[in-house]
Amino acid sequence: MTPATRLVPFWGAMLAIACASVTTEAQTTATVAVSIPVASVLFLSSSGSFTFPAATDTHYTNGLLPSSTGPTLTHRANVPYQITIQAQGAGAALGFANAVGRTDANPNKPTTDLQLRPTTGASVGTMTGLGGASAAPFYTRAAKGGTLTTAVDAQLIVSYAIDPPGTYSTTVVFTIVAQ
Amino acid sequence: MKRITTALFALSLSAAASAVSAQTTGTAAMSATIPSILYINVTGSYAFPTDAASWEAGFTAGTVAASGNATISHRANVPYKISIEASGATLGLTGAAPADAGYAKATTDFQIRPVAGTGSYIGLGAQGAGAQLLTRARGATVTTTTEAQLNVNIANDVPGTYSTTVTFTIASNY
Repeated sequence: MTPATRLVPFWGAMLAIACASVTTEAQTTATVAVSIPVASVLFLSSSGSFTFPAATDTHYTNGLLPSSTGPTLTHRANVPYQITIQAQGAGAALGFANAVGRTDANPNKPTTDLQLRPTTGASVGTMTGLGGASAAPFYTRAAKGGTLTTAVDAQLIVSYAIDPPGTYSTTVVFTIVAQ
Repeated sequence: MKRITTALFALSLSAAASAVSAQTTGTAAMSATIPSILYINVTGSYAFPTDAASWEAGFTAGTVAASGNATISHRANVPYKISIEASGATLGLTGAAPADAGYAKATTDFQIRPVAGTGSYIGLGAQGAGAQLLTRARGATVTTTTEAQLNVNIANDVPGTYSTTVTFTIASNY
């Protein structure tokens, strides 16, 4: 037997061992942990402003001055949500500027005298007084969902005994919050 | 394995960015300009007796009271005053004898006062020169019934029919 002849059984044994080893250690599955944190996402935008006609005796007699125009809200969220209304700066009274030529005392007209109402599609809400120091609930959407458009109209409570001529103003802050 | 880790990191960053960038407030400006508003309305009229006895007593007393009343309703969002004025410089006179036709009885001889008021009678101002009847702070509707009398003087007032139209004017009293 030549040396080469003697090596054949040896290499054959080595190959067999190597093949057996590969089959035993083969990796057939792999796992990767995945975690995707999706935060509460709420969106609200407002376009437009409130305008009012010049008040007349009829408005004062009825006690209400309805707005001519109002803003439109666009809102959506991945959670149920509420929209609140509050005067900017959390002031308790509307701003007041005397009519030209007059010097009436500021009546400190309460922000709640400005009432807002949402109309979303065919759904018409109720009038709600504007919050001053704290926000007032204005609109509630019980289910999460995509974009809705809400028209907002307003009315100003007016009283002969209290409200002198002048310009009453504020900036309304609409805030969307998760429920 | 390195590529998978990188992808997971990118997803987490994306979710965090959504929460941060969500817009949660909107604003809308509001402004309402209210002018001065004043309102007045009047109903009724003043009527005077037509019998001689009443006038005889009136000449003695110096006044003849009207039997009818005029009621004014008024309101305003500013303090205000109400004035009264005649439709001419003097009271009108008809039916007088020709010799008396030129007699001019002063509008101030016709006097008015609020029934519920404490003030005295106010002589009617001539046209364009209203006399102040009452003042009031701003407020909702008030109804004021007024009564009238005519000052008479047997030495001056000729027989005839005296007349005028009273204009009530409401104006801001600042």
